[in-house]
Amino acid sequence: METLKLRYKGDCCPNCANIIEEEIKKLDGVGEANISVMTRLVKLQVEADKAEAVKTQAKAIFDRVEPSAQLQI
Amino acid sequence: MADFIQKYRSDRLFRIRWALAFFIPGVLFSKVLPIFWPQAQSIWDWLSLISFLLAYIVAGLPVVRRAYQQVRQRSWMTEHFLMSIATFGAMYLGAWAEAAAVMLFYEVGEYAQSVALDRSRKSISDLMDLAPDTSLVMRDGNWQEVDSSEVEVGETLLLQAGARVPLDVTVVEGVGEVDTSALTGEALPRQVQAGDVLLSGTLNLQTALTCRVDKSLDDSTLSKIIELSGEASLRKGETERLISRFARYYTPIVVALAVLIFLLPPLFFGGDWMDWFRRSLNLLVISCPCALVLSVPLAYFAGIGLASSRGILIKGGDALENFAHTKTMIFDKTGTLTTGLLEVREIQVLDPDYSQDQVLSLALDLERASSHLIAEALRRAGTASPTAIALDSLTELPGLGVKGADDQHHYYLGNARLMESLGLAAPHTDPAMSAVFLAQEDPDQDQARLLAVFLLADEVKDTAPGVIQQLRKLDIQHLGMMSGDKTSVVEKEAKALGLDSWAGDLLPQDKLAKLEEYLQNKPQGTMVSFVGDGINDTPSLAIADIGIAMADVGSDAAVQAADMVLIRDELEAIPEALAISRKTNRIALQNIGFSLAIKILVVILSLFSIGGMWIAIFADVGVTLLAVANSFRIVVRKNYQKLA
Repeated sequence: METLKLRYKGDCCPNCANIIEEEIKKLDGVGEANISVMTRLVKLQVEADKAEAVKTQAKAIFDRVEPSAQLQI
Repeated sequence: MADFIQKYRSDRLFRIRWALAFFIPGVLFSKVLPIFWPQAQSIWDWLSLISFLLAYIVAGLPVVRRAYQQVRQRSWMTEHFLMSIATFGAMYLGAWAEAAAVMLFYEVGEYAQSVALDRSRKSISDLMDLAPDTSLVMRDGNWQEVDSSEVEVGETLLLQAGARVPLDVTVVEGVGEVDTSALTGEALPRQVQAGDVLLSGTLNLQTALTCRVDKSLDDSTLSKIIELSGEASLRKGETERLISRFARYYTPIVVALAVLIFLLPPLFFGGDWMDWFRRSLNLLVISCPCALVLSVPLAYFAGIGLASSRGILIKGGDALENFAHTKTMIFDKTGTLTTGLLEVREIQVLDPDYSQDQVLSLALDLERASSHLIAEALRRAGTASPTAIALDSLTELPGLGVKGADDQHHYYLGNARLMESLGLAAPHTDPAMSAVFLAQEDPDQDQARLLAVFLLADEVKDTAPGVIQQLRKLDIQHLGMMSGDKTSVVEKEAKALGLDSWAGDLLPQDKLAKLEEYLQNKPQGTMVSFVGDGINDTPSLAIADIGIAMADVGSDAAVQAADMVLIRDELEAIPEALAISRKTNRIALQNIGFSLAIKILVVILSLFSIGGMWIAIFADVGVTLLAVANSFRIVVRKNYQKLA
């Protein structure tokens, strides 16, 4: 399991952050997902070989749920 | 014009001001002017409608746009969409003022939240400003200003007066004063000289100091603190996770309730559609729990930030929350409750042929190659200049002591067991002190005799009794101590401090077992904290509910294993940390409490159509403002004694 530390730019309301967290957790290969609205940090535990795919999918989830928060990948 | 649009898009306060600029006239037109000129009522109606509509557009356009974007992505349960529905419905019912007010006050609430967030984030960015980007290092014979990230370990750095330390260094030359308040909250300046360590972020006060770089920028204390602070916000405690889970159900439930209120009474009880439509719209206004959800991490972040400014690094909201529930605290003895330095308290010469200086010289010589605590203590006691004894064949006897020889005799320095193995009966000594015996053996005659006994003791920190008292006042029910030292010594010190339990003669694995015992027997719903100085307490720090390391951030093993690191390396930080954690928990719970209470109140009031949409609007924004203001109560109070 690899730890991915990402950030996002813009604003994400705390409720949206929760929704995004839950959806990312459902992705294939994801163990843990944590978003901090305070620091705009995103920490994920993913299987090493699925890391790139997860990043792309996570960005898509961000764009769908909270368009004003852009995940930096 | 382009300027205006740019400002409109990015500056929330700008939008609020303009919305108000239309809203206030709207209020005047609809409520005030008709009193004076009732004949022109229809004009007032039109003017107020236009004003409110403009106010709505100014405040509401971004919300409606985002609602549209989200709906296109098939996200329905968002606050933007629900707010839009609520306001469209209000306008349909002709409640223009309410529609504008919903959007206006929603923006005010969002603004308050962003102010709170920015303030909190500033605490981390302030930390980053503490270490200068460049350092003065000696390269090629002169001082060069180099990027701090490129300075290597071992380089010589010049720290000028009034400058901040850019990297962790050790003073090589110079005597001066430093201010560590930014890192530890320690207000008094500290004297430093050659050999002292300075952490990055410290302010050098008066004299220039030449230093040697100990760690690279990425490994520096300040960098580690910043990293930990960021990570800490990702670790969520029980309360935060609970509220997050609740929030995910909250919106659908409220929306479902709104739909029920809208449909049931008219369909089954002959209610009026418009009337119940109006009531259900109120519910949509309070359907977003954002303020409630934000208030919890806001509180914990503020708590962690406050602790950090006092030199207490807490690694996560979960650690902070759990620490508040600590009722059992176990201390490692040496180096934590005691200074960790053994002192020679008494030298008893047992052989008339020897003087105190002579036995001390012998002992010092035997221990000359050792860095053991006993050796250190002897060296500190030894004002005697090293005589030309120079024993050889120095051998260490594990668990017993050391042995040396000159051309005539063998010499032994060690514990009572060592003496017994020589056939000597060690005299009884004060059980509160550790005894080290010096013996001489005549190898030919196979006879040994005791020369002296050194009595050593470890000193309890003078801050310890006060801290124990404070912990009692803070309702810690069980205070214990663990040590590898003799049980008799441990018992004496524990009783002097008024502790509830103690255990001595513990090997490292015994300490771990004892801690597990405490963990198994702890009262329901409470936590067990362990305080150690990090070096060999790593396993205990890891298994305790809250592991507290009294060490500087440099010892990686401790930082990894512990939940809390006291950079200040002072016992007084512990009750302070406890007070901060309790206060933070209280504030988080208060926020949750009144948020929920007010929302429920609004639901009930909406059902009975009391107060209209205004109640819902003010309740929602009021709750947001209160939650934000409440979390500032953690940041503002710096005197922790008032916190508990």
